[in-house]
Amino acid sequence: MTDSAAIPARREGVGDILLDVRDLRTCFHVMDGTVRAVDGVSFTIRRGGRLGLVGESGCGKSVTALSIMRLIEMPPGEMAGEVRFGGRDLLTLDSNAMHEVRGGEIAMIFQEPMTSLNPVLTVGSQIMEAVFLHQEVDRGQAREIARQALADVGVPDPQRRLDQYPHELSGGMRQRVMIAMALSCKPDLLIADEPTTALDVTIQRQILELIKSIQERTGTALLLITHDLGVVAETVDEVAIMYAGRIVETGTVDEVLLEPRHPYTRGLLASIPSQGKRGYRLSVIKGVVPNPFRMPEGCKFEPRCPYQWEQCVASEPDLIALGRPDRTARCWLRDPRFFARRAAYDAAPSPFEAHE
Amino acid sequence: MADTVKAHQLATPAEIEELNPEIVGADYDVQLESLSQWQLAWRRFKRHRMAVIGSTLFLTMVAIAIFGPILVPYDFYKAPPPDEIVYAGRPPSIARPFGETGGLQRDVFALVINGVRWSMLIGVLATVISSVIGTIVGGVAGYFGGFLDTVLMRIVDALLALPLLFVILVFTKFLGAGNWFTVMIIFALFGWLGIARLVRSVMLSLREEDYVDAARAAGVSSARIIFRHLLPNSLSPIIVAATLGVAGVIIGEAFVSFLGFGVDIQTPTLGNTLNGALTFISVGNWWWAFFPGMAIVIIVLGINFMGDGLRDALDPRARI
Amino acid sequence: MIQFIVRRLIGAIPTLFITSILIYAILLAAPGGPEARFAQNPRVTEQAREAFRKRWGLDQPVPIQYCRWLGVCNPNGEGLGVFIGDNGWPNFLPWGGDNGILHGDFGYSINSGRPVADIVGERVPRTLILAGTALVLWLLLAFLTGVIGAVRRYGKIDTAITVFNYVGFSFPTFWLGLMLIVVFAAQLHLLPAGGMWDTRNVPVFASDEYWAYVGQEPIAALVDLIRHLILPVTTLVVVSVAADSRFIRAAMIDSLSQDYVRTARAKGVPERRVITRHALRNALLPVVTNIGLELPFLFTGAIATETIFSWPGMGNAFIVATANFDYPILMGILVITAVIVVGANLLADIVYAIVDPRISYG
Repeated sequence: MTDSAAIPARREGVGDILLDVRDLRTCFHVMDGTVRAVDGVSFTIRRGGRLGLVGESGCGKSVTALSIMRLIEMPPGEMAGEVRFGGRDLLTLDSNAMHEVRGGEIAMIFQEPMTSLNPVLTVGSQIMEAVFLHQEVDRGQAREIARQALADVGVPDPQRRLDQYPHELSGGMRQRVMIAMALSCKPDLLIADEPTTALDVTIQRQILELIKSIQERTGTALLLITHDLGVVAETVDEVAIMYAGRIVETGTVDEVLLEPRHPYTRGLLASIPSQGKRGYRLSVIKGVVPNPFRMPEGCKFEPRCPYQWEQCVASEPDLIALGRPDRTARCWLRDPRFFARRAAYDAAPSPFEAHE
Repeated sequence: MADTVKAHQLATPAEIEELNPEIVGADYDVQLESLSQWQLAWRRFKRHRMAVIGSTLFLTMVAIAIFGPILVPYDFYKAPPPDEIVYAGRPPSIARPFGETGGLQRDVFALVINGVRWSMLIGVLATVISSVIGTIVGGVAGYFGGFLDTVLMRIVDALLALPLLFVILVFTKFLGAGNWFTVMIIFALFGWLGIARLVRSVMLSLREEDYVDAARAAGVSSARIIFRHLLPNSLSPIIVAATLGVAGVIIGEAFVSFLGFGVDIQTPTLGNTLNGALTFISVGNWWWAFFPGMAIVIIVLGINFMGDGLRDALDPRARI
Repeated sequence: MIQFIVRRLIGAIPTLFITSILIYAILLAAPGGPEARFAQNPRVTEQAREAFRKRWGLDQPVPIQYCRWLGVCNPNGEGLGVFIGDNGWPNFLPWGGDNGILHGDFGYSINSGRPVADIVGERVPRTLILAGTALVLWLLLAFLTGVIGAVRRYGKIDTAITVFNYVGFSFPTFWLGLMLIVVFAAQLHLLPAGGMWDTRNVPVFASDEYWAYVGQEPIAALVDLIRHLILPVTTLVVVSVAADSRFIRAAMIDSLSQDYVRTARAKGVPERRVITRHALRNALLPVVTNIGLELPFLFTGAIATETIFSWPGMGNAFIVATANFDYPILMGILVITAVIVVGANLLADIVYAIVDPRISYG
């Protein structure tokens, strides 16, 4: 991949806070009640930083991303909280300014490359549309930027591809086009919502490598949303685990994956099949995600938690810091008052792991 | 407390469950109402404002159709007494709520009440028959495909290239003989085309579904597959199309009879009631044309609202 | 692309062929036939009937009659020579013969004796003026209301549009025409109750005198035409907008919920452009096909309107011909209509293929 004007080099100010989400709440008013899809989510991303937002289907991670971009349909939806980006709160921005932010400062790519591109427009015109929106260039320059963007994401013969239609490209190729489109306007932050879930396993690896390398080269921050812990391990530095609309654990990748402090995280990790577990029964987290209209009063994970006791049923814990402010877990076991119980958790092998 | 600590020291989930069945991930009490597809559809239908209004209108008209002529019979032979002859017909009054027609001075109210019955009868019967024919033809063509499909659809396409009303006009004039039953059959014989095309396309997509392969592999006969598996799943668009079809026949019959080509005035329909009304407009008689037409509008409006509600209620992609 | 068009054209021929057979079968197989008009009349002698039959070729077997009517058989031929024209070429070729619809010979009106082709040729433009104006207007309105309804779904405007659509859709065309006449012509005397031109002041439409009149007083001629067009066009538009409007609305809603619309918004595309460039372009595809399928209904609507408003077009001619058992005119009009409809569907297919890049021309 060539160094290019289309995708810029590393920026200054690496390490400053770029995105600061504070107590974001998004709910939907539907026929049967109100669903609190995102219920008090807070996290920060630094310039050039990489955060993975992990959770199972329905935990609110996609809604979080869409809320940041203000792509939530507002009549049924309702948002509260703050999303500080570039010195202002995105949630209170007027819509014209928000249009500039979208694509120009924060770009997003989605899960389904097969349907995410407009079938009646050429690939080139769609990339160029993004370019025209955020940069002052003429047609020829825009086309060159688009061509270069395609080359940077590893699309062979980019000149020809510009005039092709989405249905003429494979899934992996389309996802590359989406990435090129997203990065063509030099955004500060890239949000990737399950970018590889819909792709073949071999292509998944390529796309992840691509995202990673571009991100490293250009210094764009990355918010990667996924349910796949394996993806997280390879691509990001920090992790936030979500459950039922809340973040339940944060930390660096090593910390969270090697020493999970929340029972849910532990359960997720234990359920990954691996060579070492050959011959054993696969372990699962028993139970189901709570009904959004009837959430438990206390800790949302309590009904499925093997370590729960009356305290968990009674009230919901806050995110408790474990040593440093960015390493937290939302579990009563981490509260110093319940030290005795925690010792048992830390000492015993995880009950989730199967021993037959 | 002691119990719970003990739970942690146990290795297997099975043992934990034995000791503390309440603790380990008891499934949260998720109350799922398991309603059938039709019950869900009915629930959606009831909530649909337009559907409710439409059904009310339609059922009211059905009631009028059934009971009206018994309460307000139409007397074909009644002529006004000589001293009360008014060429243009008398306007609405208390004695004659809808006024009189011009010329023969018939009571418009009685005509409308009786006309509702016959118009609706023709509409419903013709649609039922054409739906059955159309479903069979479309189903067979769609399921078996190949040559049969091509031939049948060529014929359907060729027939559809002609504006049906033209053809119906010719048929009713030449063959109709003013008999309501014959007219109804003619409408039925031309109405099945649209439904056939619809059912065929539904069938084409449904037959690719996995459960069809499974049934075939299990040795189920084609006829059984069509009738037991595919048709119930294709009922929704058929129902919607049929509902709207009734409206189409009612309006179509009204026009044909208005022109004098359709049903004789012996059997009053809302259409033949209007026959001749045009000429009397210039002498000031507006009520003759107005009331029968309004009756048609109300019936058709009710049907259209209902049809829309049905379409939304039976939509396979609808969520609650 | 040319290949695609040619193949479609060739594919349309069997359809037209079958349609022509059906038309012929319908009309001649109906009991009574052209002689039905004499059935009630005792004064018509058997000799006169025989002459009538011979004159119109009704003494031949039906397939031969059809063949002659189509223009594939030579009326002067015998046996197998029936397929060869007078000059030796196969009869169905344009230069082979001069009879039948393939050569533009639609026969003669039983009632007036005039060539059917003349009558139809006179009437078709008048119907096209009426139907064409209505079509353009209702398509514009349908697109406007459909798109607005989809974008402002469930809002006040959408509800108002929906109600109007449903009510309009429920009016029988002919009855709406009647009511409009009652209000605007009979009661208010604002607009003419019928006809296409003011018979007292304006010459017959499309006659030489008419064009002379247009040359002298273009504005007056135009105003006259418009005054006569308003009510019938309104009738057609009110009833027809509804269906298309709902369809476009549904197609737009579907299109707006697609993933690529979400992508466009995420790129920062302004909402208006999302609607026009992304959603509408894709929604157009099913809409175009649907319009093609609706053309027969355009003619159906035209019959009702022409009858009520005494508009001297094709529909009117059809009604009169039906009442008089004037077969040649009936068949001629049906053939023309079928050709127009099939042609329009073909056009819709081609337009669709041009607009949707996913369709391959292979």
